[in-house]
Amino acid sequence: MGSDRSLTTLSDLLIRQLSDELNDEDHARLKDWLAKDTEARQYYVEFMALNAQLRKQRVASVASETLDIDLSKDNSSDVPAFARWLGKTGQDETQTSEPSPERKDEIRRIAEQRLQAFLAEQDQIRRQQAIYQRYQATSPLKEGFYNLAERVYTTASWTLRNAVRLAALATVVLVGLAVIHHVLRHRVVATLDEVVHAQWDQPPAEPNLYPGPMFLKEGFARLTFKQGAVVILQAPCAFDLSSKNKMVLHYGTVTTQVPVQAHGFAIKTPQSTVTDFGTEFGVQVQASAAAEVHVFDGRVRLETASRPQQPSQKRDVTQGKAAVITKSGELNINSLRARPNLFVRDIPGPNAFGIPNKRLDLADIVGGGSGFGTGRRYAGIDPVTGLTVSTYRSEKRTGEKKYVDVPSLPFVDGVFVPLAQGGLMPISTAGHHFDFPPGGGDWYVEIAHGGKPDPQAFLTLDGQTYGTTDHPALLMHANVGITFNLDAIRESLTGSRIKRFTSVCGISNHVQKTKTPDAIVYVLVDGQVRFYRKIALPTVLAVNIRVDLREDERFLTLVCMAGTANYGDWTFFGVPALELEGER
Amino acid sequence: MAKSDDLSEQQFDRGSHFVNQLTACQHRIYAFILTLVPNWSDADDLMQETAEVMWRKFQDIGQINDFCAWGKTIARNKVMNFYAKKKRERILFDDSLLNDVVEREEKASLQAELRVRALHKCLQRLRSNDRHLIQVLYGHDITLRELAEEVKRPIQGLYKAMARIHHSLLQCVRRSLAIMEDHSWVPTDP
Repeated sequence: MGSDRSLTTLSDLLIRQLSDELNDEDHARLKDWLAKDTEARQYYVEFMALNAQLRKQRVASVASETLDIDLSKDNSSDVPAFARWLGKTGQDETQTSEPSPERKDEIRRIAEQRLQAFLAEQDQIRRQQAIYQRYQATSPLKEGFYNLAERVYTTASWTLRNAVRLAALATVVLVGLAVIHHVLRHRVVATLDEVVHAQWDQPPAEPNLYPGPMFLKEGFARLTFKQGAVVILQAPCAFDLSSKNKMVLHYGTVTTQVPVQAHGFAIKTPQSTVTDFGTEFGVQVQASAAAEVHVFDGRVRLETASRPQQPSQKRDVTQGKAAVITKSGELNINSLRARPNLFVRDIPGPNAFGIPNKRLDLADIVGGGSGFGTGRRYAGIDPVTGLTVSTYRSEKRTGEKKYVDVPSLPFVDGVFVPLAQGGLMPISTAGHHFDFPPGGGDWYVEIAHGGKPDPQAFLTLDGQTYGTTDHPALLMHANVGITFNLDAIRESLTGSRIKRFTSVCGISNHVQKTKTPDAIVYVLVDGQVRFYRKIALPTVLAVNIRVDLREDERFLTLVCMAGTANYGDWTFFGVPALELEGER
Repeated sequence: MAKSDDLSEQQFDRGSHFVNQLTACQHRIYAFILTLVPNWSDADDLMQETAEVMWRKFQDIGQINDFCAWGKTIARNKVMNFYAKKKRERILFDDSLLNDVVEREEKASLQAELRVRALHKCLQRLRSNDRHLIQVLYGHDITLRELAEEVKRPIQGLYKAMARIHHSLLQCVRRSLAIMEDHSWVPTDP
């Protein structure tokens, strides 16, 4: 069941059922459907919950009448905003709702006025047409010659008489245009609603924003355009505010929600124009001018810029699809599921670890995100198959002797389990290898965006809890390895430069109370060791890591191996970050 | 005179207390009734009867721990009596399915606040004509037939339009809930 069409049919039956307009045959059909189909029953329950919310105003009236007490007070902690919205449309909450005779008269009066105005306009048009037709009724040639002469004479004498007036009029028009231009340049086109860790090239002096260029250097900001579109900007972001319903995005990442009154909101990029037809989408433009458009809800029209030997293309991108425009202007449309979660859907809180153009969260990337909070906690990657899982689990498993890529996460180059007997093993798709010591082979837990609901019992080091929004954890229980594709990450950063990898690492404190694990941690860059530590207990609890990265370095590999035995080796990287720096 | 003044004040306080609690719970009780009796007219009548019984019983009971749950219990009894009177004609659920539906309704009601927020956003996203239809249907004491006459559309077309709008709203609420809720899977213990 589940197709949109069949659900709409179900919705039709339910509306009729609610209205007591369902005939016996359709009633039997609905009853049978609900009996056999669990999804239909779930849809039914949610449909009724929705309907009860919509009818809430009516319910208040019913109960009020019965009890002869006023239940329709606007208790602000209870009455939801949409009920107040319904109230604003003229519905008096304290009365049973019915269109009054006075209201009907008012509507009738307004309709009559409009009709009279329309008829008067039509009458005038008819009179003008009649004059024109009489004028055309004489001999065409003679008439034309005579009219031409008359027009020349009339124009010349009129111009002479009115030269001064014309000069004054021209001056007024020019001044008026200058005033209009000034007003347009200084009209408010948007307001700045909220910022999180935001730093600007030129900080706005007030929430009202005017047409012109802006540059968000770091963090997030949310704007609301005058016509209603809401835009979340992610740094680094260079853009122009054009009008109350249009912007230009030179590079950066934006997520947009467009209500009905703002349909037609447009974002112009170097290679395209994206026009919304409702209601939520994201646009990312990279420094190279390549771009992606993800449509979460509704539909957008994408028009690529025309280039030599490549005419402009117009495509509609619908919900659940992602359009990818390459540097050279080619356009491909894929499923959203095939792309990483590049866009925040709500502005993150102030304690989110990943901050655009400041630091990127590697645990968030393992969770399928962009590095700035769009990933899912507890999601992980199977180190043998490269497949992602929604929840990691602990169970002894054996590794296979290969390095596998992770197709669904383009920022992860690959994953692996070091060989039991040790030896040379590939650790990147570019052919880098590393000679591991013996001790690998078995593994227990997927490489994961770690954490647990009970923070007292898990992923703690030196008294600090990890696996939270402000202290994320990249869980890597021995024996596993992961390689990040730094070039792919750089592409998505729209201009930020990766400076270094920083983290703490260790074996979670909770294990050390009951077991005596030990582990080995490697950090490799393009196959070369840049950090190595054997973590032995009980004195060594947390280790700080800081590895500088050059622009030409492409692969960052993290490996955790068992020490003397793979027993309780709950190793993890806490606050694993790529520190960033962009244009300042 | 002083004694009757004291009683009046107590009654006033008790009444206010009842009003506050019923205001907070009435939509959940109504949602429960509507799920089991999916007919606006019947559900309104049952809500009325439930509110009456709640008011009568409330005056005799000292303390109620969970007002909403108590109200739903009374509502359920009313619904069962209603089923008995209808002699199972036009009842959508037999006994074996009823418990399943009640359980699903209970889970949905736990998300009531989130659903309200989601519905508010989704209503704003409707096209203006669709929102107008919803406003008229739910903002006025009006049947769909009367609405069809007021907006001058054939009744069958209005059913289809309403079905489409409600389906669109529900899909939007589902998507919004998925975004709003924390993805809090609980991993198995290592």
